[in-house]
Amino acid sequence: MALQDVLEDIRREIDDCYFAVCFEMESGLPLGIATRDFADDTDSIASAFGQVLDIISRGQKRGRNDTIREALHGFNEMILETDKSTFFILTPSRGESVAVAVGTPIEVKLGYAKVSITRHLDALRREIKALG
Amino acid sequence: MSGKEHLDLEDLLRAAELSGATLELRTDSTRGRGRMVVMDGKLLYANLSGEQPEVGREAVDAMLAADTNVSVAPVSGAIARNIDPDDSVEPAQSSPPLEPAPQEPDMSENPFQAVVDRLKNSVPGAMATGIFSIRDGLMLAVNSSVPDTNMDAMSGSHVRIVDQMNKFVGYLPERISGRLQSSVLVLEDATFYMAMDEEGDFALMIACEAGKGSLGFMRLMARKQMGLVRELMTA
Repeated sequence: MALQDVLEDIRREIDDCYFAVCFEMESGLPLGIATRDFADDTDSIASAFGQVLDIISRGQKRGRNDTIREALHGFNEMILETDKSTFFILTPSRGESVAVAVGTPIEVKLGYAKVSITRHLDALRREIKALG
Repeated sequence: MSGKEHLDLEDLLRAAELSGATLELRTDSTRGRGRMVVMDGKLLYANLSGEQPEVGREAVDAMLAADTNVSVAPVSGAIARNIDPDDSVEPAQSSPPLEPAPQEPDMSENPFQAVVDRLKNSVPGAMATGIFSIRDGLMLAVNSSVPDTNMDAMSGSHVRIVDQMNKFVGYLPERISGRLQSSVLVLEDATFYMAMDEEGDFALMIACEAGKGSLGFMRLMARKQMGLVRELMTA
């Protein structure tokens, strides 16, 4: 099963999921994206996640507080909420330089989205490893 | 806030117990209106009014069994304990009244400081709480037990983070972007929660030890303080 297929499975499992995307943490470059309604917006979605992941990678390298800088290396997940949507980002494994994110309408329960991604973590890890 | 962070009564009671909080829970359900008082993490009083009024442990059981809406408030006045620490119900009349609830923090000097102090005391495992102005990048108040906390560096980095998150939203297609309301950063050892004011003037921040403060409880406590901070900002 290719990474794209795993992402597609995640997207389908979460009601009204806008997209499921996998990207490289440092550069924000997307490795795969599954979307039904936002196929024309993949560049802007990738740019958006590039911005937000910069918070983590820059903080890990240049954070002024030693405790916080060290803590950022243990990044597990991030949730961003707007009045329309929820965006959920997580790293499949400790020390991975790859993250997975989904976007959903605000009505979708956060726990449900997380469970859906978690269910596919083994497959995600496998496919990410295969990418080298 | 999204309104989806529904906390049930059991969660709140557990969180209050863990944090040693002193607070009052007001409930509303098909069984009637109720009141519970938790002091130093111990549930000492419960009363349920309605067609089948209950007191003490029976009131707690009835409220837990019903689909109950619950709000949190400071303890108002003295109470007559009707639940003892061993869970056996004592008649309210036979128990001596407890001392009044601890006084609210002094708001006269730095009212923002009183808010962050209260927030830190109310969230289990909180390591730091703060309020910062998004517009001018200043930390209005902070209460931190994180070593080497530098307020200037902290305010600078928080404002930059909000700025990055707003850029994130700005890049997204308009039909899904919306106005940034909150962010949660989960690390191995800590969770950082930030709630943004509707006008984009300020944000409340809570950092707590991993696995201690539930996200729902942090949201609830932050939301409780948002209105007060807004009033202080416009005063």
